[in-house]
Amino acid sequence: MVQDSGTPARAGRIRPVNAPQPSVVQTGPNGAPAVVDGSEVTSLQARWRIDDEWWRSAPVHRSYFQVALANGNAVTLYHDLVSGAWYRQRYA
Amino acid sequence: MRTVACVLIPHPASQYELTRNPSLAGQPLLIVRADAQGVRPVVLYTSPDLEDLAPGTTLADAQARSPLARQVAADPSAYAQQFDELLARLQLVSPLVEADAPEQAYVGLDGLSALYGGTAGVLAALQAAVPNGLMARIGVGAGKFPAAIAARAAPAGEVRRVPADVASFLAPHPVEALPAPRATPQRLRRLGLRTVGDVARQGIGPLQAQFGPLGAQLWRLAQGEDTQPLVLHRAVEAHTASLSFPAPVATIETMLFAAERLLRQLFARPEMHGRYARIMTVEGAVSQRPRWQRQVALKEPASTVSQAMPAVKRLLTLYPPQGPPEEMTISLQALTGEAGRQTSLFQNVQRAQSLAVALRQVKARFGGVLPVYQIQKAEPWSRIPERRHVLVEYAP
Repeated sequence: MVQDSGTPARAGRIRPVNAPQPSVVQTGPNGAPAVVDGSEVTSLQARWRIDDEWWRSAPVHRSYFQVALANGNAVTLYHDLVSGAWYRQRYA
Repeated sequence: MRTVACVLIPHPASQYELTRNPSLAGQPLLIVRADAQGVRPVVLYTSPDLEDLAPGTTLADAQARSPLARQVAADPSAYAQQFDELLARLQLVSPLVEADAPEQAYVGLDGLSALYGGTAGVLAALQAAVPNGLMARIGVGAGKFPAAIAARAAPAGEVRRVPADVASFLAPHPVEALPAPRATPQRLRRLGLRTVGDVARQGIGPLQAQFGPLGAQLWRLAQGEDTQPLVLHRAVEAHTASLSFPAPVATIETMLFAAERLLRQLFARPEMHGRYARIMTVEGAVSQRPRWQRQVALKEPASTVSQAMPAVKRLLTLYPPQGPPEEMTISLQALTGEAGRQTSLFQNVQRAQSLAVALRQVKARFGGVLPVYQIQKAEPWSRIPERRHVLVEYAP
């Protein structure tokens, strides 16, 4: 039996990279984002869905959108189909 | 028929010492240096009147035979530099120059008559190319061997042309004049052949039977037929800068300052832009001593002063001049357009070590928490973007 070294758990030392950032989104009639953080969506460039870890207690069901905004930015965001919240996240 | 000139500088070391110190003129001269063990001084070169003294004779023996001879410490790097300068000047007259021995060079003269207004003009240009003070003997013939024999027969500072009957001209010379391995003249003499003429009178067959291909070559040379091509001397590209000190310098710091200034001059030259030097030579005239010279092959080719200075500092610290230098010269050679850096096999280890040192300094500055993280792959295959990589606190 290996004795407890007494070292505190170090889980806090690992941080996620590219964590999703909450976003305020107004959707259009087809469920696609129409306004993102106060900026109007001018075009929808791509749309895809991921369903993963469905065997876990917190499965992942997301609907991703890549859109161009009126301010000139192109952003990728997703709609969390479990919680209903919207997030920005780079997807490469 | 081709034309080749042989430029012979008899006793170049003696001539160099005379130009450097004219008060030695008219006196027998022994140019000496320490023997291979660094214990006894031996004679390296002599003036023409002592040429029967073989190189390697101890100074004690030489003094016993010539008590009035003056002694001078040999300066081989200066003699080599003198010969290089001669070759460079000859190459301005003709592109075909071969360095044959420390005192002899061959120059191809074909096709130059129109440029210099006839053969006499070419020969005048050749004589003018020999630096002042050097009494060169110039021989002109249809090949290297006849030209060399003519040069030896020429009066100092003059030109001797091989006559039309080459074989008769060569005939009286001893077999030692033939370009052959050292033992060959002895074998020829044992066969009763004492002069070049004796060799020429033999048939080619017996000579070939005795000496193989060399025998045929010696026979042709004795006939005056020399078709050996010139082996061109390729000048080494070097960039040199030098400065004289107002007074002999005794401290390393002043020498380093001078070296830095010289390197700044060299690397600022347009021809050095974008180029790296692999070999650096630092030399200087030392007060009352032979010229001091050290060459270093740079581990990493240098294109800036800061890259070259550590090598100069190491060189001056480990191998300082034997006396206070009066002048310093730095040459950059083996120039390349590429850095060709030699990287350490343990570069990652070195990088990690230097990073660890930097992090310790950051930790000391900002406290116990290191604000440095490392990105590591966690699940790069994951479809969920935030699962692919993680930030880990860097632990050196």
